[in-house]
Order: sequence, then C-alpha cells, then structure tokens
Amino acid sequence: MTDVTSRASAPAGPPATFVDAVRSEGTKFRTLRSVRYTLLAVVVMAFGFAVLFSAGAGNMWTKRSPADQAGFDPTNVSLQGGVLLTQLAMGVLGVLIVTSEYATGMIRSSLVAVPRRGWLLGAKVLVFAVVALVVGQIATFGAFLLGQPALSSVHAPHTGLDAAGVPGAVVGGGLFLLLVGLLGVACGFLIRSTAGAITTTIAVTLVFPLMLGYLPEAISRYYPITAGQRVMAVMPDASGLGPWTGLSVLAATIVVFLGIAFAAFQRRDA
Amino acid sequence: MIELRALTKRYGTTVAVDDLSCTVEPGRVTGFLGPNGAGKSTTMRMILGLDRPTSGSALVRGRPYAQLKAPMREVGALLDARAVHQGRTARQHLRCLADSNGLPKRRVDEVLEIVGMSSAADQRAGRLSLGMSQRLGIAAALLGDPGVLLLDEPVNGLDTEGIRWIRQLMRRLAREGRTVLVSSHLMSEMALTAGHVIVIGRGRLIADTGIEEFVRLHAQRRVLVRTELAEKLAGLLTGCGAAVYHSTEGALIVSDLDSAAIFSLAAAHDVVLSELSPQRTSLEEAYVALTRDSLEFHTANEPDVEASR
Repeated sequence: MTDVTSRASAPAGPPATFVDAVRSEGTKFRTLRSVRYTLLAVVVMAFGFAVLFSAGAGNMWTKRSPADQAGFDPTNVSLQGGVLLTQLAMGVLGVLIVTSEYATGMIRSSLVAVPRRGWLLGAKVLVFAVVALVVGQIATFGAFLLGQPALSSVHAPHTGLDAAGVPGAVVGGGLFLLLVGLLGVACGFLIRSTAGAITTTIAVTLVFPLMLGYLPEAISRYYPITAGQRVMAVMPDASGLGPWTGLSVLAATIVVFLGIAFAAFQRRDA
Repeated sequence: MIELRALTKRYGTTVAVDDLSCTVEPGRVTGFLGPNGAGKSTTMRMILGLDRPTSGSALVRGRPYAQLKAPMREVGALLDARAVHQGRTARQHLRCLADSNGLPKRRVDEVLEIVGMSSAADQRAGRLSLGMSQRLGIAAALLGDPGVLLLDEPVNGLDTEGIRWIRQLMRRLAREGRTVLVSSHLMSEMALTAGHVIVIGRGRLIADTGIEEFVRLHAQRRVLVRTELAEKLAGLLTGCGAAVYHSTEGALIVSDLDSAAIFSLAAAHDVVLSELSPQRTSLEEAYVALTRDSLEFHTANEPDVEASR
C-alpha cells in the first residue's frame, strides 16, 4: 500500500504555462495543410485582384469628369482591390482555426490539455494575430507594389511608397486584414459551427456594407468595416472618418466581440 | 484520487447526473458502470471540467480539474477516440498536446511505442481505423505519465488482441498505484479487469462496492426443483413469498427462498423432491437486474423496493 499511495501523491512535475499553450497553438497552426493553402490564397488573391482592379480603374480614369479625376486615389484603388476578397479568406481562416476543433471534437482534447479557457482562447488569438499580421502586411505591400505599375501601364495617375500618407495606408490595410481575421476567430468561438460562422463573417464584412448606401449616413459612416477601410485612403474624405480614427472604430469593435466570445466560451459546456 | 460530491447535472428538466457522491481510490481499476444514457460520460466530462455541474463538485487530487497546475501530468483522459483533427497525423496530434503541457518531444515517440502504433504514427488521423484511433486516444491519455486515468469505453472498436492488451494495460497502471476509472456498459468486461465497481442508473448511484461483494449482494440465488407434485409445491412456495417460474422441462425455478427452506417446506407437506439444485446467476444478469430495478424504481417512483423484499 505504501508504493501505491506514493505514485498517487507523487509531484506532478513542472506546471504548464501560458507559453506552453501558445507553443501548442503554434504547432496546431503549422501542422494543418488547409491553413497553409488558405494563407497562400490570401496572398495570391491580394496580388491578383490588386492588379486587376488597378488596371480596370485606370482604364476608366480617362473617361471620368475632371472633378472625379481630381479625387482619384491610386493607393486606395490598389489596396481596395487587394483587400476586397482577401478579407474573406482571412475571415474564413480565423473561423476555421476555431470551428474545425468543434467539428472534429478536437476542442475536448484541447480543453483537457489546457483547462484554463482564457489561456486556450488567448493562445489561439495570439498565434493567429501574429501570423495574420505578417501575412496581412505581405498582402497589402504586394497589392500596392503590383497595383501601381498596373495603373501606370494604362496611363492613369500612380504613386510610390515615398509619397505622403502612402506607407500609413498600406500598413493600415494589412492591419485591417488582421482585424477581419480576428472577427472570424470571435465568430468561431461564438457560433461554433463552420457554416454559421463563415456566413456571419461574410455577411458582416461584404453583404452589409453593400446595403449601407440605403441607410442613414451616420450609420454607414460608423459601420465598423467601412470605417476601418478608411485607413486605406490617402485622399481625405470630407464626409468620412479620418484613416486611423476609422481603423480604431473597427479595432474597438473587434475587442468587444472577442470579449463576448470569451465570456461565452468560459460559460458554455464544451 | 477522484472525489464526487453531490454532483448534479441538469439539462432543462432532464436530470443527467443526480446527486452523485463517491470516491475513486488509487491502486485499483474502478469500473464505472451503467446502461447507455445513465450519465457516465456526462460525469466524466464534469470531472474534466468540460461540462459545468449544475450543483455539487468533482475534485481530482483535491482540486477542481481547471485548477490543476500540470493537467496532463496529473490526469490522462480518453473520452472519444475521434476527438482528433482528421487532418493531422497521429504524431502531430500528440505533439500539439505534448507542447501544451511542456512535455518533451521524445515522450510522443514513447507513447506511440507503448500503444503499439509506431508504424501508423505518420498517417492522418482521418485514415486510422477505429481500433487505431482508440490506441491514439490512449496514447494521448498516457502522454503526461499521469497518476489518474479516466477512460470512457476504452474497448470500443478494439479487436480481440487489442481488448486483451487494454485489459493488461489498465491492470498494470492500477498496480503502479494509479487511479484508474474505466466506464463501460458491459458488466462482463469489468468483471475481468475491475477490482471495484461504481454502478449508476439514471444518473443516480446504485452501487459502490468491491466486485466480490457486488456478486454476493446482487447476484440473485435461484434454486431449481423437480418433483411429481409441481403444482402443489408451487402453490406452497408462492404462499411463503417466493417467486416461482415453470421451466420448459417441467422443473420449477425458485427465487427468494434458499434450498434448505424449500426442502423443509416440501418435507412438511409430503412432497417428494427428485432434484434440488442451487443455480448461480451470472454477473451480467445480476447487473442487468440491478439497473432494471433502478429504472423501475424511478419510473414507478415508489420508495425503496429493495428493502421491502
């Protein structure tokens, strides 16, 4: 009986830390092929659509009125093109790193290994944020650097990274992608089903903004997604928010969403 | 050691686990038995902090699971062998889990060796057979070399060789002084491995006892009786409160009265017996009878049927 009790009460070894939880989430991220493909899709779509949009908008430029021509924002054209569909891929990736665990039942293994739910959610958000930060910057810098030659090739105005306001817009565009990805993570924790969370993310980022034209201007100005997109504009918009004010509105909204997601995750049965 | 204190889980009006209190001791395999839907898995999920108890508590080594400092080094669990992302290989899955508790990478190879799936280590989890998935789940439970193990229906999907292997493994883990709680809906399975059983039905505790006592207490003693005057004897026996069944071969099966009492009753009424033999019911029958009683007890909602016998 002595050795029996000795094994049962033996010291358990060094405690598990938040850093361990982050390392585990990093390993999870690295070991999924679908994640790598989605990241590749983010970059390819950003580059491809930036070129297409820039060339298209540049072609139309010559047919525009002088007033419209004066308001032409080459940086914004390339970035909007680069971000339009890329934000979806980023949002979907954010959703998938959460809902794939629910769909497969992996979430129970994860929670048995890391029962502190704040740690598990925090580690997931942190790892995703670091990857999305890097990939987002690659996407918008690439979109800008490939989009400007496309504008110049059709003899439309174009600009360079050394122009005033341009670096901020390009960096801000990458941060916008990161925030949309985090929106996906929050939706994933809140909704838990892949289909539901992806539908919600697409509705919030793409569908609602299309309907904003029919709503009072105050709503469309502060709608977080459109407000966040202001950061990609170099030309000031008299009726809109300033670039970084706009992005802050989006960032604050995402923080609130993550807070709600954490509260739900903490309370629910897994 | 695992301690359940008045553990209760309600889903709306359904009570899945009802005021369950018991202690799971180290050094032996404890079988956690009950029919499907009795609340075994819900209880295990509450022990592991996955589900929140409606009231009461479940403690592992004196603490709620979520407060353990090194969860995987203290507790290993197999809940659902399919609780794995199908896109990862067995080795990658184990590495994700090992990293989360700061366990060394070589431990992953060790447990793959222990469960005998080194050759399948680099196959995607989605391609593994149910038996191999089960082994992967057990490998995950063993990763932290924990002192407490919770295994939910571990023999599911294993072949004969696998079943023999898991029985030996559970007995060895218990011999090493670990706490081993194994759920099953089959009494016969537990009879081969468990030293102690906790039986629940409809979320309530029915029995918490050593396997030997369980048999002695709950296996109904029946006696087979043969006589020319079967009808007369049956009437006499029923009059004494015994339950009598007519077997197909013309014999009587008597329960709730022992051989000596039957013999003297027959002798007193000049009934000549040609055979009088006690029958042992199997453990499985005892268990089925016990859990069935508990279900009737609850549906009829009448107090203590057991005691009135």
